[in-house]
Amino acid sequence: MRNKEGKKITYRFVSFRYIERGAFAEYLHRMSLKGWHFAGWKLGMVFGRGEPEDIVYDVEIFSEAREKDLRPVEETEEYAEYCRAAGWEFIDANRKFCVFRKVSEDAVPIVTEEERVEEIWKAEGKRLIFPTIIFGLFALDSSVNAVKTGLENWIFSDLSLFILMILPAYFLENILQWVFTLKWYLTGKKRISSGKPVRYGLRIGYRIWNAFVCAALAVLIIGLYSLGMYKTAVVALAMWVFFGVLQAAENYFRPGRKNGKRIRTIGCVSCIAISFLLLAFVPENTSYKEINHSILGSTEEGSFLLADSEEGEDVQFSYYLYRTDYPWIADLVWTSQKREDGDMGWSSEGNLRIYRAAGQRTIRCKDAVLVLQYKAEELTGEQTCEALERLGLQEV
Amino acid sequence: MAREQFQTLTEPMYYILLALTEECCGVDIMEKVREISGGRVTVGPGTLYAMLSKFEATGIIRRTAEEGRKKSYIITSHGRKMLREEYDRLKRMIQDGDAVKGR
Repeated sequence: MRNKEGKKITYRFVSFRYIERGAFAEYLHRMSLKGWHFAGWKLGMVFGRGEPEDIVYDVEIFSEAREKDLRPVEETEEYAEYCRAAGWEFIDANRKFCVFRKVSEDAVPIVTEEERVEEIWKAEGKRLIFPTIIFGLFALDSSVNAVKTGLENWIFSDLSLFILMILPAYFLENILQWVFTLKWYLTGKKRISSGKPVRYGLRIGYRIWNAFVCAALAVLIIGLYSLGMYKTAVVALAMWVFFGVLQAAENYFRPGRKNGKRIRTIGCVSCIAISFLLLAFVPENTSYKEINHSILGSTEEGSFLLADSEEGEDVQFSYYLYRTDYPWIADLVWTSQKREDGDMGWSSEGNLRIYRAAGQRTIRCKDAVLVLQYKAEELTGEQTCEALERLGLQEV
Repeated sequence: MAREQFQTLTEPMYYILLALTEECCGVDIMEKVREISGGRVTVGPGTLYAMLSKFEATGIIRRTAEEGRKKSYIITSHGRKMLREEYDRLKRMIQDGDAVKGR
């Protein structure tokens, strides 16, 4: 690939945490030894082709820049002037990273080790605080809702299970990052006071987690689609692609602070609008049955007509059917469906547990719990058997 | 508040304030500190940048000129008072040291 001036360039899509600034500088150094010299950011990291050279890079954390700054701000330019006077040529800045190359043999270190450790601790803290609070609140909200709405309302939905797992996982991951960063900070200060170098190396765990998140999202979308939840799958994929494209465009054009804010606001509003449009136009499941699946079982909701032999008229029944291979889950659902105005009994044959309440019957079958709701006076034994047969249920 | 934050001045702080007893451009302070200390004290550009911001925010120095990205500063009367107090403190330390040495 060549740039506008016809110079050969290459892109690298590598990211580093602030705590990995040393590994970042070392990466740039290794690239220079191969003849690829860091030129800045545009979409990814851009390297220009040249002669292999032993260039010393320094990557510093500039606290007056912000997480969303994709290009040097005014303060960065001023900071660069000071560094230039000290023998460091400024190359580019992205977020709080500032990259310099040493141009003078007697260049003074840009900051002291103590200052560097403090800057990194503050930068990592600021980076983590927002997602930690957000994921913590979402995890708490979804957990409270799960408890309030009852087990049967989320345990049979893979999407609900996924959300209930992923939100606390994200929250926990952020907390772990805090803990490890704090450990690094305290260890760093000890090492400085005992004259040892501070470690700024790569954190493999961070990369494994990022790869896991991408894989989990891909599995979720494929899973949703294969389970027939077309709308949810399409919306999830569209949002993922949309945000990916928006992020790529931001990284390529690198808007300043004001424009960047505008773009992100427009992006969020557009995403919501696209989601609504997709929800409106992606085909609905027109079956009278609504089915949810999860790895723990499935729920089915629908209605049918049964003949009333006495009245000679058909009676409308609506049903909720919970199927699972795990007896303990079936027992939990069975217990949760009991109402205060009902009573426990057995079928006339003595082979089915039935919970009777006004307008509702809850029947414990083998591997399933059936809740029948009706407006007729009473549900007869024949009607119960017919309902079970229609739904392919076996007796306990 | 400035006094509480800068109870005793670190060596780089002390020399930066010494350099700013005359109006000086920010980027030239590093060289001036080297001259004043005879090459013994060096202040990094990042350290200097951060300190100038803090000094200006707490009224120890003030900006006198701005040409593009180049800013010039000079110490304020409040800053001079802090510098004087630090100088006196260091002098007393030397005197105390001399007294013990002389025993």
